[in-house]
Amino acid sequence: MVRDRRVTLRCLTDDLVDGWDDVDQHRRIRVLRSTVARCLIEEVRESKVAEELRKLPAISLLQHPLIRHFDGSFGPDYDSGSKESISGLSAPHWWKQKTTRWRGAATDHSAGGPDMVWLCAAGIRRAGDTDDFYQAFMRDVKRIGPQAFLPADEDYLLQKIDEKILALDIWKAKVHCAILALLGEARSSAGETHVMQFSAPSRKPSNRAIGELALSVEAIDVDGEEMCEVFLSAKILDRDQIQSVDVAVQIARAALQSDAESWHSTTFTDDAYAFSAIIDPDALVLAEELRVTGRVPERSQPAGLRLGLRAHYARKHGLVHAQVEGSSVLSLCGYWFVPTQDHTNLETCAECARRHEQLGIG
Amino acid sequence: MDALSQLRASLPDGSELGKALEAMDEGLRHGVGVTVARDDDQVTPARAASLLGISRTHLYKILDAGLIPFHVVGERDRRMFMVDVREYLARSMSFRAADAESIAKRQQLEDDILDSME
Repeated sequence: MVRDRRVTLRCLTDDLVDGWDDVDQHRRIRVLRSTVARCLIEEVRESKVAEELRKLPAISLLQHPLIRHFDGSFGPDYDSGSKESISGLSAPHWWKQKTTRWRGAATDHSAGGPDMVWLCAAGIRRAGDTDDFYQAFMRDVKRIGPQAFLPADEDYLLQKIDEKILALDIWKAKVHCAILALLGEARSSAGETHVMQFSAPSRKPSNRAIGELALSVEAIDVDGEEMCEVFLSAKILDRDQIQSVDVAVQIARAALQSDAESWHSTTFTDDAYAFSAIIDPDALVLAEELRVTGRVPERSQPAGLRLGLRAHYARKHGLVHAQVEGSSVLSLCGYWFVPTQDHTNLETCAECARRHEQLGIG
Repeated sequence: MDALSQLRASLPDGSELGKALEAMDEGLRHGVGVTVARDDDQVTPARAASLLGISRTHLYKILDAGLIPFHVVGERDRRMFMVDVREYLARSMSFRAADAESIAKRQQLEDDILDSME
């Protein structure tokens, strides 16, 4: 049976002190462990740990020979008969992990969670060493108990945060794909509105809808070229989940047209908002591919709306304040934006430049 | 023609006043706060859409949803009152300002979502 593979933080930082393909990875793991420790005492939020975690590959894919061996020996191709256990120890039972000079001890004891196997201890067998790693390990376990090696609170917290990141990523991908599917349907029925609902991101499956998206498309003529305009309305069904609805709508919009400035928004009916934009031709291609093959290509990833592609003139003073506060200002051309530092290399909005010049005359 | 367009038409080419009035008209059309129209002026869908900075399709959806009162003239043409269009514009401008901030702080939103996830 395939099990989920994880390595304890203690083993990563204290036992696997060298042998890393990338020394930087080990450094980042030590930073991660101290961030997890701070999170346990509520000094930092889980999202801070997530930020560190995103800088690393999955725990079982870390670049160390013993971890690679561990990942492979409990992976889909593993043969349960070929496992060697550390005799003399039970409750929990330990599996030996051997590769080159590295030695490790792993356990799939239920204390570590269902369908889990944890690599909990490791060491190097140095040539000429009289003290075999497994003898030393057995001694320690008998003396201080297995608790010192089994996964601790820090490991379970990290696992929980890992699961949350996965749940959020999956949720974003679902919204992204669902909107492309909706676009595919809408295209074949011009003017007709197609609707989808979505639930909140969660580690457990949920059917409770928190928001609703309705989409219709229409062919329009833009300077002699036929383009497709989308009308998207977003309705909040659960006000407690307004942040998730907000992000879902941003992901949906970005899938259709990633340039934030291309979107025109207005209020709509109760608890709903309306958005329209010229659809990015690439989105139409992706929607068609999804409709025909049932799959969205790898290159199409959920993303946010792209900002700051053009520099704008703001209409009033207080730009620095707005930059600091993250509040939006109104540009001369009528576009609302949050000012940022790096506008010097950007092309200036033609409309803003024109109005700025005209204001100079009057 | 409305009063503004009539005045502009009567000015010589390249006049300073003409340019200033053109700028005001642009402002009117893009709804950036410069208006000389009266509250009870009648507004066509084309003009309303322009004022609101949206396409006519988007505007018709708004009218069909009953968000701006309108009346019918002739057989089918719809007209709105400027005051109602302005009021709707103000609400939409508020939303656009908030929307811009939301977009800029999406990472923060995702962090909050993660923290409050079960």
